[in-house]
Amino acid sequence: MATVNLNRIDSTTWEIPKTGGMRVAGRIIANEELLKPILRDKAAEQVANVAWLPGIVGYSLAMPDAHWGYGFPIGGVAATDPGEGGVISPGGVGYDINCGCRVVTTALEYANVKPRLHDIVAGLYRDIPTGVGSQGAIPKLSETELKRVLNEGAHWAVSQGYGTPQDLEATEDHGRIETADASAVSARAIARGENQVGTLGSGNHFAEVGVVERIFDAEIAEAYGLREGFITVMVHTGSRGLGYQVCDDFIQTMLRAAQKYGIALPDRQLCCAPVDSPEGRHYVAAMSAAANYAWANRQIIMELARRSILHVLRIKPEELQARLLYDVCHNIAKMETHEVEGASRRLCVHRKGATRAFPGTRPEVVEKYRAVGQPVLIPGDMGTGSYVCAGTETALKKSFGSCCHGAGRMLSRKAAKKAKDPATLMHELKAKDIEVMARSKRTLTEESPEAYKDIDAVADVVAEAGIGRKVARIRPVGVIKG
Amino acid sequence: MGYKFLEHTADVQAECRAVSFTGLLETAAQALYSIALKKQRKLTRKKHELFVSGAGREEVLVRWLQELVFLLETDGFAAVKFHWDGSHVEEQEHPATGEAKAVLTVHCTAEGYICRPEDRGEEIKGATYHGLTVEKKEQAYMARVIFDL
Repeated sequence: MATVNLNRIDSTTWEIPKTGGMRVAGRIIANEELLKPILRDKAAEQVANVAWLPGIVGYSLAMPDAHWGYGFPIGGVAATDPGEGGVISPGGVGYDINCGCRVVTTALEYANVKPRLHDIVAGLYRDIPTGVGSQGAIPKLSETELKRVLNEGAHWAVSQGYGTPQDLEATEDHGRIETADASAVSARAIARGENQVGTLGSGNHFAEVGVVERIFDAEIAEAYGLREGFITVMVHTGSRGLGYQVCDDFIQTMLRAAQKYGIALPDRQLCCAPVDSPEGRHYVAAMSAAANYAWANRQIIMELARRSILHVLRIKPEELQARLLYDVCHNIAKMETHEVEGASRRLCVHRKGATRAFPGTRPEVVEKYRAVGQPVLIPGDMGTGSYVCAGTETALKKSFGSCCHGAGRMLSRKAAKKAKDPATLMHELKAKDIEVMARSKRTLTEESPEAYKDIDAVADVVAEAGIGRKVARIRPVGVIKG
Repeated sequence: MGYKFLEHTADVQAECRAVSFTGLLETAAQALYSIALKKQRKLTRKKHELFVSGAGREEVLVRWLQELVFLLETDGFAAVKFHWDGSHVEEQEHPATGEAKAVLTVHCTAEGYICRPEDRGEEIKGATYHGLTVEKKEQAYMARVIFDL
């Protein structure tokens, strides 16, 4: 469709009326300012396209950081009911299955470690493999061992000495989806991912040292272990080449499946099959395995970071007190129970560039956060800041318990490169006391702060719409990128 | 003939033109390598035989690009020259529905080299079907394809 009509529901909700092949209406959560970039590209059209999916319930949704993707918009959320022919679509998960991020809190005070910041960042850059085709963090895994990674996720990493069982307690789904089946992952996917466990990759993936700059909610911050002026480490990466290949394999499968089941779609990238079909179940098994790979990946990278900081500062673990606050995935499809029109229904919730944001009343939330709600991690750009929010009851009602996953891109990569040269960008970041090390200058400028929406504005809309409660703002002080 | 990049908020959209469909595949390969490689060499020490099939030109274009991405990611292989050994269209029966469908298969031998880590540019996750077009206009083929980066 070429254009979409929008109706304003309230100050942060805009509705795309149901027309044509749309089975439900679309809803965009944004204020007037954030709506402008969403309407400038094709994100709103994509929200309408997603509404064609068979079995979709409620609304096809876009979060405040939404922008043009492929198939789903980035920042897109859609729930389908398998009981009513609801489908699962690899395009609603994306190539980087279980791309996500985690935040680690520490007992290091920024004021004390500031003089050693350069050494800390250089250590992370040395010890965490970054960049395109990066490998070598851990020895190459045998096929048997890689299949254990696919079935066991972060548990495998902990069993190999990368982290502790406490880390698993602070990871969404405890770092493993039970529906994973390594045998559903193709040999091509295994070939593409066999050397990449424990690597950051490139593009918008990063490891970042930050300082808690502001606390908005003292009670929740205390529960999360966030203290003003203390250092955090954030890791953003996913399932690397293995996940990309799983997506590619199943796009082919779902193109045929959509024909087989007579599913009409406005965009082939939305190809799909009923969740309860052989193709749907096969995809769930492979996607879950790739998600487990991603959790093992982030678990290992976190441990590499922890070891690196201990080594650089020559301190003991009890002095660092590195503790995983939480790990969230933001490219995933999950079976969850939600209330729709007064009835409790088991739904397949697609979150593509969207984070789960459950309140503490949900059984999926880890026990220690039941009183305050699930941590929602919203990384911003490398020069501005990131937010830790908490999940809410309102999110359950408005967005199937979903929130945004970042600031959201605003400039294309080409425009971002034109806007600033690498030297100027490095100078500006240095002036803000931010140490940056990157393999590629091109990636650095593509990921410059100007390329992204204002993270503070995005977090304000999250709070105003009620889909997340602001807990703390983290300012970056050191970044490594591929 | 050649390629250019169009605006896309998060990813990269390439527009490719060539006088033949196989030429279009070569042009799309060049567009892909211009993203994925910082430095392209003219070495031709390695060969890979490529068979790509799909239900029509659009699907063949995506499968072709995915194959090149796969070879780059797994072997570091970057193609420089393509020797076309033929293409043909045949009716195949869909395994599930029994529906007959015209399937286009292209076959070529690609000569190239194993690139060095320092040659690598951006990581391409995949070639997508979103906004994908392949058209024949007068004497030229034109395609638009979005790469997920």
